[in-house]
Amino acid sequence: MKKNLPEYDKLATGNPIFKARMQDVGYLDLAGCVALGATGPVLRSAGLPHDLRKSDPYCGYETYEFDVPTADTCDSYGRFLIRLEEMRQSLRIIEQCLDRLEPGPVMVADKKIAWPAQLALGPDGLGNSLDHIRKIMGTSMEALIHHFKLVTEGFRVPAGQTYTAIESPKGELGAHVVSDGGTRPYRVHFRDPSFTNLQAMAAMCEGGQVADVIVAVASIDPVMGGVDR
Amino acid sequence: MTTPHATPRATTEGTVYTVTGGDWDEVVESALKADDERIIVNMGPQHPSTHGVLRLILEIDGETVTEARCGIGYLHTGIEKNLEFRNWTQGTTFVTRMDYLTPFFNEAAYCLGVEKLLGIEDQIPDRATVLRVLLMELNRISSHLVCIATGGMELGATTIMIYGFRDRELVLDLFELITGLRMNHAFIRPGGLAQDLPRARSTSCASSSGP
Repeated sequence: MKKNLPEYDKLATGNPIFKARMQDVGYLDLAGCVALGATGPVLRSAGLPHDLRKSDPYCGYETYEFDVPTADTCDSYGRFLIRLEEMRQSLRIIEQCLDRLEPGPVMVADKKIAWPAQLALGPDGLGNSLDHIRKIMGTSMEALIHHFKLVTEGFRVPAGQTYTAIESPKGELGAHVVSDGGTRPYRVHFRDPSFTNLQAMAAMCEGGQVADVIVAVASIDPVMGGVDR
Repeated sequence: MTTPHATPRATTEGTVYTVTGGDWDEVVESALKADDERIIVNMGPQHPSTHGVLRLILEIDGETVTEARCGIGYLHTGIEKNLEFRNWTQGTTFVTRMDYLTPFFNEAAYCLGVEKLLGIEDQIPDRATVLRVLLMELNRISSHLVCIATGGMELGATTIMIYGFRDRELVLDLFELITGLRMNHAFIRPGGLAQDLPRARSTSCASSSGP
């Protein structure tokens, strides 16, 4: 991957046609980004180094070393350069992850919450590990009941609500999770960055050429699966 | 002059709202009144350059866009509503399909929220957290590659499209090795991960990301 990434620089970064199509296209300055709630590469292309991995760390991101690339061009070309640089920074984080991988459990110890079986690859494909099935079917009635209850009904989550935001490649991805204390969510709402950033499309496109609309939309990188949910 | 876009209708089951498509009639009407140079172009929802099913409604004057609007909802799947009818663990299976280019981010956001409600953030094993970060960063690379690849293709640059998807394939191969699936993994679960890494995977991860 490290070998392949420079190819994009060679192919596109200095390419005059590429630059002519992207520079000063899809312009949205910092005031516009903040007013429209744009996040991610769109916001960073306006010069604000806002990244939730730095400003509101989760999953221990504060202990990883990486930079938040920005641009001051406010255009599609700046967003393209930011994405290229973010991929290099991601590789840096991945290398740090690999150094930190220690053997250990990958599921919480609390038996009331943890999924009873880890998946394993058996002769008929991926599924519950055969050891686990042997144990619940052959040796322990209580373990079987526990498995059945947890898998079919699920665990209960205390009533309350929370908003958790992480930095997805496209911007701030937030999950508003509401529980009424049951085994099912009362409501889950996602603040998808594609949806919010897509609002900026009109501000970027109006007054420009028709062909530039496509470039501007591509620089927002909306994924409709996330926009519509 | 406002047109209700959702007209109510009484039925035996209660009031049913018929949602209609925006103020398109008004736009056409006002376009008819305007001068001949003004054209409204309905780009998409099946146009190859509109990222799936995004519908762009462009009002153009010659080659200049005077008004741009987007029509969304063509890929509405009701995922958020469906979540209310499945248990908390099954939720990951739904959220992973929302933004299908960033499945691990959807799962992580959802699971971090559920874990916060459960009050078990501190009990998540370190290995699970490190693996989540690892998968999310791999996912960031694959998502940006698709953005650059399809963005290049929309400009007419096919080489960068081929390059982008070639490198994305390296990441997806890793996902397949780790989770068993290339997309829609449902691998991050409330409480940790669905399974540990298969043996000898960290070497292949290193060789993919290494020089």
